Amino acid sequence: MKLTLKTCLLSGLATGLLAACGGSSSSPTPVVVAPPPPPPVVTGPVFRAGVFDPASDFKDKCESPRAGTADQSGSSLEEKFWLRSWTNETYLWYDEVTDRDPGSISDVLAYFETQKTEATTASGAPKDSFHFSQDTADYEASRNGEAVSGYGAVFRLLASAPPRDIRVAYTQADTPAGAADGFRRGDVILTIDGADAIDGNEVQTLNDGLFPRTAGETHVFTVRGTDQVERTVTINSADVVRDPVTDTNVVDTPTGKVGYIHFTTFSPFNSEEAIVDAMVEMDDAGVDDLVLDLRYNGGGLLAVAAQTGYMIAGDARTSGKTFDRLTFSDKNPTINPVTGRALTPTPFYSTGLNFTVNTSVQLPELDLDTVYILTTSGTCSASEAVINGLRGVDVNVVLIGSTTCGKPYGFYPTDNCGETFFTIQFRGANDKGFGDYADGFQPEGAGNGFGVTTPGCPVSDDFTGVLGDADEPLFAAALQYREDGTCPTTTVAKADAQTNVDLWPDNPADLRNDPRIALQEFLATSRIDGLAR
Amino acid sequence: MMRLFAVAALATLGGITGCATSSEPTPARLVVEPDGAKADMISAAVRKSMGRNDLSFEPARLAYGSELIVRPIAVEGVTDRVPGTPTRLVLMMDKTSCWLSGPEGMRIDLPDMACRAER
Repeated sequence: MKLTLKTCLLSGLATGLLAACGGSSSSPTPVVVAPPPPPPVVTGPVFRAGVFDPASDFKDKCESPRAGTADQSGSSLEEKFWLRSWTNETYLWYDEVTDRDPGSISDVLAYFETQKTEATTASGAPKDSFHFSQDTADYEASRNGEAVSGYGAVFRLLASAPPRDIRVAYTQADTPAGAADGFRRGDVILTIDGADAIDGNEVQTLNDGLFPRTAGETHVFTVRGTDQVERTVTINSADVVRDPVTDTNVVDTPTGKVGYIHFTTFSPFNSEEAIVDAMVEMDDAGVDDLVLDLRYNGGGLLAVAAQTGYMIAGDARTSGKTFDRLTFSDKNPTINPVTGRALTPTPFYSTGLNFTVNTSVQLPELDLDTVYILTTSGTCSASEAVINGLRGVDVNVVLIGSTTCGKPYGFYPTDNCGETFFTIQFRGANDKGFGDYADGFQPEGAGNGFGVTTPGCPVSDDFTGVLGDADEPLFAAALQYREDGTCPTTTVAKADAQTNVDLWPDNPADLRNDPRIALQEFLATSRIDGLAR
Repeated sequence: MMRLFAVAALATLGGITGCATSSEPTPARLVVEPDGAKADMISAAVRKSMGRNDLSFEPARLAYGSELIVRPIAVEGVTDRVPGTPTRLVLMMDKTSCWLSGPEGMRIDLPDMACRAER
């Protein structure tokens, strides 16, 4: 629009100048044929295939500049040219992107959608399932938030459209959900505030109940527990701070003590303190082995993942070794193109890092040769970095569960003109240089065979059992495998989160029509699930 | 006697002034807690210098001490593989200016900020 307006003004100005020249003559002149009008003046960048001006030339030149920011007056064309150049400079697979004329697609976000590879992995899944953007104000609000409104329950949408299947994966102690009359792991949600949660079309009511916007809201659920008994749960929302470690346990077995840690996230700063405390507990208990439950851990801070690796493997095995090495595109072999700093590998950190543990604190070491990790498709990114990092220093990583999400990639959120863009910019590799697990890690016998196979057992997470109890199916399988190297023979009913979902569903009855839920679910579930469902 | 007292007083005054306006860099704190605009200016300078936006820190703390810890942020469900570790910056000053000093010679100038020496 601004381009059009500017072009008109310039054309008009040129016409006026010509008229003034013509009118300045005082003597009669022969009539002359007016020259043809000049071609329209084109302003703004011009597309030349394969030629990329620096992204900095177009940064912050916005069609709708925001007050109080670095934004300048610009155009949507410049915003698209920025996307094109920024992609070319920083996208991991820049050479697999079709170079499209930014003028050929009017919408900025639609143009961004084209700025990625269309290649697929060995399994046929999209190579890049992680390309998205978010309103910057929304991103900053989530970035700055300490507590969010909720119940202290984590729901899994096994099917978000009718017939829906919504389960309670786990609850957190000292929250409304964790109270005696709250939710229990494995509860199936039947109704929410009178709306049918399985087949009904009252999407708004269901989402408002599942994901309350404020503290102090009261919602009424009917649920069916794992004992098949239906009950009513009347629950008030509260500001809940996520607890990174919800359960720990030490189980005495005939062959030694086995520790258990349910580690739910590497995201908040206190994930550092939580995992250090849990490892200290394991160390103090003198465990002989460890079962690390990462089945719902979608990742977060890579440095905390590196600390976790150190505490499992110990100093002797990790000293001088790389936990994770970031690799950018071949245009940036030595310099991080986003920060401008030299690329240095992430070590196995042996001390606190100042997220919430002081740098003077020496981390505990379990010095394990083998670790048992519980996984599902929700085990993602920094969680997978723990698996890969430990394999890189020859720790025997035994996986119990199903195939992990397959995300050895990462990005730096980047704002331009009020939209924050997320485009894959780097991949991680371990001390052996291995980082090729885009189809995930999978225990032997699980998945479609395209993931990286590890020792272990395929066991589905059916949401039964209490996390940390020795008879919970995944933990029990780990204990059995540890004891005699065998896996459970009982077929467990398979229940895993929906996978490879679209960000914007077509079905109006899909709970993901709410943008809050859509992005969260997209990121949590648009992964590659190697487990046959 | 009078003259001796005056010399001693001048010497004391000179010592204080010398400390406050020394050309040697010294740890400092902001004279007043930064208002919104000043805090935004500090934030923008830190983010630009570190080359990334996904950072958490509290510029207001610089009114109460010289240390500023800058931490990378992971937003659950959005950024799940976040590189980097916390960075410790120290507010420094000399006779003419104040700035944030970081590892490997990092220097983030803070023009128009009033600093005083850290005690």
